[in-house]
Amino acid sequence: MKESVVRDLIGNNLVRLITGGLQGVYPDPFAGRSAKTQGLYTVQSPVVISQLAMSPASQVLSFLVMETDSMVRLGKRMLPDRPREEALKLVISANAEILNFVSSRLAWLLSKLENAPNTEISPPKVGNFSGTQAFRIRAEEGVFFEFACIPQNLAFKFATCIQSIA
Amino acid sequence: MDKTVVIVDDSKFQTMQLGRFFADVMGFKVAATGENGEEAVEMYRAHKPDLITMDLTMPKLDGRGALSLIMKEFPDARVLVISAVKGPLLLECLAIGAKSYVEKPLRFDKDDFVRDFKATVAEILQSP
Repeated sequence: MKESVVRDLIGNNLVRLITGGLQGVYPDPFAGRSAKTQGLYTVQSPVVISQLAMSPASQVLSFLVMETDSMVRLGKRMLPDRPREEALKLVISANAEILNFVSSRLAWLLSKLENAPNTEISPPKVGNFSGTQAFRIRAEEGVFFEFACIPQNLAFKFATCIQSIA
Repeated sequence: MDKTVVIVDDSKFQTMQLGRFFADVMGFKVAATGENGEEAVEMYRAHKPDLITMDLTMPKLDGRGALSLIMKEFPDARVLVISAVKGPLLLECLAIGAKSYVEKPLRFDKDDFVRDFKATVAEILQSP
């Protein structure tokens, strides 16, 4: 299976999938748009949620990055009775849930595309990708989106890296 | 006496959301919550709840593995799989002994989802 076919499939479905995941978690309406990139796209933040979906022929590594300001605002609004740190952890967990939903659906799309029933996904992981730990994706291997909820001043980035397994 | 539920999901947000729903809307006592399959098995042994909800994609031991162990030890266990996963894994879980399956995302903000979720739980509780 050509990487470009998988990338187009994912690119054409990603906004819908992310929006679906968002609806189960946040009440706010986010709008997504493609983030055009040339050369290298850098995933860089102290809090990055990542998850791998794999079929026998492809692997799809996805990242969700929400800046701390947005997470704090969401925590205050959604969990006003919780201490700041706890609310922040719950927002990170909510974001991991969104990523998990998207990765599950991507695995399912891969299984349909490749006629491979045994696709797998890893549990979502939270990591520090700041400074030298930044992860770089070649533009031609990825699909990149930015989501925003303007009325609540919330935003996050979603990046997906698609590679064929030789 | 209140029915008891154990909720297992590696997302703290999801266990909070489910815990609130079971306690506030369905009148359950949440006996325990866990974050992985190993905890699911331990918590089932400790609490023997009326219902256990099980995510599938989890660290240490996944939901399918935990389901297998629970059903082997407690063939009458009532396990409700709650996951975003689609495909043959779900059929496997039902074959192993899960009573039913609810697909994420959980739309507790939607009346039809809440109605269906309640009906699914009621049906499971009525099962032998």
